[in-house]
Amino acid sequence: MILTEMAPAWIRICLILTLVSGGFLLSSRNLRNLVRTYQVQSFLLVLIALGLTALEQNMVLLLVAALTLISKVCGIPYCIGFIQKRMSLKQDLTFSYLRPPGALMLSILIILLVYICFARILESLYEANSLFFLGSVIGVSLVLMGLIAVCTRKMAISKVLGYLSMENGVLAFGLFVTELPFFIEFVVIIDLIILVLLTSIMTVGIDSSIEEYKDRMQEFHLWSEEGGIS
Amino acid sequence: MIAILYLILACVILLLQFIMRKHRSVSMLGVLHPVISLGITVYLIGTPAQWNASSFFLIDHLSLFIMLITSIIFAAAAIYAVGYIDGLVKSGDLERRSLRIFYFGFSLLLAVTTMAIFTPNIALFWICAELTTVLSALLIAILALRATIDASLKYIFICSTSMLFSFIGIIFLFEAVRNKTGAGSLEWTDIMRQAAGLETGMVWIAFVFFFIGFAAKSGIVPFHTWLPEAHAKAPSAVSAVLSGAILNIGMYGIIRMTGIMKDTAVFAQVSVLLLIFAMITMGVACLSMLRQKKLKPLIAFSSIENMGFILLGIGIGSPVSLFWVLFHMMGHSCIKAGLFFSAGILHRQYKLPTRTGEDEIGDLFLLQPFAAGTLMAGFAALMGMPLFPLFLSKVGILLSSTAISVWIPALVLVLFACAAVALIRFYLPIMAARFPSGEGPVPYTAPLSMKLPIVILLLLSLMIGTVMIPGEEAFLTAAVIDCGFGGQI
Repeated sequence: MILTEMAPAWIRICLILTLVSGGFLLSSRNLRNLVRTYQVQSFLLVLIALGLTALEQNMVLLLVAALTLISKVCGIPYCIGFIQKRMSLKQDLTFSYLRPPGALMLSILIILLVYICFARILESLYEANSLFFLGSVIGVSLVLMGLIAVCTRKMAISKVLGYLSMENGVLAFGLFVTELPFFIEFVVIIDLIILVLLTSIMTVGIDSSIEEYKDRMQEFHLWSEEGGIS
Repeated sequence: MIAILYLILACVILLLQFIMRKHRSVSMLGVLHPVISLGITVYLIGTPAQWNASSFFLIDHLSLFIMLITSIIFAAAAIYAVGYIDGLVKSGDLERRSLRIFYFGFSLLLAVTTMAIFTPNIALFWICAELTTVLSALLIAILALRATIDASLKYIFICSTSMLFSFIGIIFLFEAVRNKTGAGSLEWTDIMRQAAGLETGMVWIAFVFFFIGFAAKSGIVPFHTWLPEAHAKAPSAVSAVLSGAILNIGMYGIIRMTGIMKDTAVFAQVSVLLLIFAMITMGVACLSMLRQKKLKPLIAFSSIENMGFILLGIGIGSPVSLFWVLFHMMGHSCIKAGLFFSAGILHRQYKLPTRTGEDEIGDLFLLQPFAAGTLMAGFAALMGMPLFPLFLSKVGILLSSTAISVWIPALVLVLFACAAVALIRFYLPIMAARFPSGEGPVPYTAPLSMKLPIVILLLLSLMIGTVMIPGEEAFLTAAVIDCGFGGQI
């Protein structure tokens, strides 16, 4: 009972913190911090899912929370962290189009714009289901903040993290549509894992010199001399 | 239940490709897969009684038509790849150890594309479309050069980030249906049935977000920046599949979604949005074509132009324009794949791109008379010359557009003229260029497997452009009705 009463406030706080983590992803120059921020952001989504489970009594959300914990809080950050470590890349200091202060200012503008647009277009929804409305505004804002990260970051590995943050925005929004089949959420995560793996493999080539590329591929056992066909 | 054969076939082929170690066997399996898929599709087209037998597949005129185009293009590309990939391996451009990845990725791409076309669920369609991006990116990067990896990453980042917006659109659509009926749905047919009376604001947002992702997938401006690079840098067999089959997946999604919007209160806004994006896309593409000095980027920009034109037809939203849109998709796919195949022969001949980064083509009719001839025919077809299918579809869509404004066909005709000038301006100098005596490259003998698909596609496009195959008109009309644009044509 107490949990049910506390859940809306809990969810709102977590949603705001998710946006704050999006801001960190735009401004941090340290690659390890970027991965940690993504990890925290994903964990906040787990907390939101748990809050919604208490509110809606829907076990599917519990499954989504577990899946997010395994894949996004543990699996994907470990994989990216491993690649970063092996590539000896620590800092991402170069930006294109916008530097972090500009990107943060743009993000604030985007959040305001999304809020105003959605409040006008989804007027009835705002009155009927304010939590869903907030989820949609923050979810879409997070997607757009991730997009800014993808556009402004120069290193491919940081772009991957921007993309992952965008995907978190979609998940944040999707959590509020509890009837969305679990199977869909599951397949989306599988798709995400394939995508991250592929981009990370290629990132190894782009973020290092091309001469090192094939050596690195062999080092990671992604490319073996024996695996060919005759 | 015949449709289940697509899945069984894909599983068997992928398994065999995994087990077999001989290059020849793996490449033959790569050919068998699309050819049998084509056979299944033709059989299904001829037996409408089989269509409703499964709830796991959405089999209607539209999906079968798109599948027909897809399997033709994949079959042609697979035959072409037999000789082409062999040549790449012999010349050292492609590592022998990458062969298995190539053929496995190629077959998997066909399997995922088939699933995207036939899935009745809009979210599964999104996932399959997303997987086509991942697999295409893998095939683009197969040569493992910095340029190809760069193009591949650009493709993934632009398409996948845009596709995330589409998923938001799908969530909004699901919620809109739930608000109306009490239970959300992700089935194409259910949503179409419930379209009338869906909440205006939510359905409008749903369309805009959905459009962003699938516009990127089909190379619509301003989400097109990945396309010229990806299509130009990929091996020609892959470029043909990307241009002839994968771009259509994006358009297929937009057609289905616009069909849903047809019965809602926002269709007028949707139509304006599509028309604006179509005109911008055609404008940017045609003007960019004028600046191109290399063959494959020129053909790639022409793909953007044609996607813009298809979008124009969808935006007009009349049954007649939709009829010609489908016709245009078929014609464009055949011609564009053929052109990329011809470009592949020229690339093997002149080792393009050369060290200077420019296409140094000379003694064209002397060294490669076949590719020169088919390239000329392909360019003529792209310009919309009579006898070729694009002539009919261009006339059909332009006539339909007069119902909205006479300025649309006027402007489009000017843009078509720009595109034609760009093609002629590219072709005439390379036709006339001569290498100094004794300095030209040694003639490259293209194997039969590289020439055959070009001839087949060229003949097919001539046939589509000159003869109305019995039942073709009725089938396309039914496909238009399936899209939700029903009415008398």
